[in-house]
Amino acid sequence: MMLRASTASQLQHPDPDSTSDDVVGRRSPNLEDFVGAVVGTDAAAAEAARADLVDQFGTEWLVDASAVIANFEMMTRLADATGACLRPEQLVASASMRDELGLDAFPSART
Amino acid sequence: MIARMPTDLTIRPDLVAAQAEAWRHVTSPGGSWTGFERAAMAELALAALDDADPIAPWESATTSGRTTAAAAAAALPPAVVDAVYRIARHAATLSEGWYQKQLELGIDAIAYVEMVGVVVVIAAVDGFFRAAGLDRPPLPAPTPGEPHGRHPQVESATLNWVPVAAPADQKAAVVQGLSAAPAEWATVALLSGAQYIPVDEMGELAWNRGTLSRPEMERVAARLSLARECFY
Repeated sequence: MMLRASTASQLQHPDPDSTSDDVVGRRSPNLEDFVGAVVGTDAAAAEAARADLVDQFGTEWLVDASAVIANFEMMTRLADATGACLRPEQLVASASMRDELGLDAFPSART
Repeated sequence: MIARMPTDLTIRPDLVAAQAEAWRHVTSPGGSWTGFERAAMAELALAALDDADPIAPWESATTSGRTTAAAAAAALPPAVVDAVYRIARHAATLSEGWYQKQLELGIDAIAYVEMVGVVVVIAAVDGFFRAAGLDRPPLPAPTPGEPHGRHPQVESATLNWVPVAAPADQKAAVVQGLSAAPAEWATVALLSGAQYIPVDEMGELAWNRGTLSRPEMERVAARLSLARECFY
């Protein structure tokens, strides 16, 4: 997903949450909590989240997770500053998900 | 530019190279702005991202009296200073009406796209070092020289506010958004390949670097997009 750029390819797969064979069943960090901590305003929580990730999974995970964060710090601003809109078919396909997650209430919603 | 933590953290060489190229690019002359002007935008964007008590989206960075990068601000028109701060710090609050006002304030539409390209690259490199808890490398000195003035043929789009390279709306909005300033998109694509997934691998849902699987990358992307309240 480069934001919604790869939506079309993902929609061709019935299970976008499926994992490849080499990662099925392995232990995985709580990446949502890691992201929330390191982009938040609590410096101690951020440092603890980094230390926990490194201790449990290694420094490569910290680098690679931080790199994906960096990518979307870039792409979210690109989308919002250029007024990126969804295609009509994407709006239809994402309607129930947007409703469930409350995405239409975002100030950046351009539907 | 390899940064290390006490834990002997080493940044991948491809990522270091992409970040170094991005840093060089944002301080070099572009199509509409000189290297000094682009470096000033970069300094302003970094100051906005560092601002512990950010200026509200509806306030002007120039008239707030709180612009920390005063020398950089002096090198640019006030409208550009305000726009850079707003994009760097409050991108989710932007509207088409705000964009149109930037044009009325005198920012050329293609120059606006290039400015966005500078800010988003700054946000990327800053975002990496901030997330990893590492010191951010300093920007290189600006490269002297005038803007080259070469731009692709552009046209209005239905998927973006900004003009895009013709033909419009053949690609995803986020891909064509910087197409009026192709060197900016090239830098974004370079960074994206090192930070996330190479563009030509985007459809490969099992692609990974050996650490995060593709679904795990998407979880990071979704959580970050939520934090930035990015609808797209």
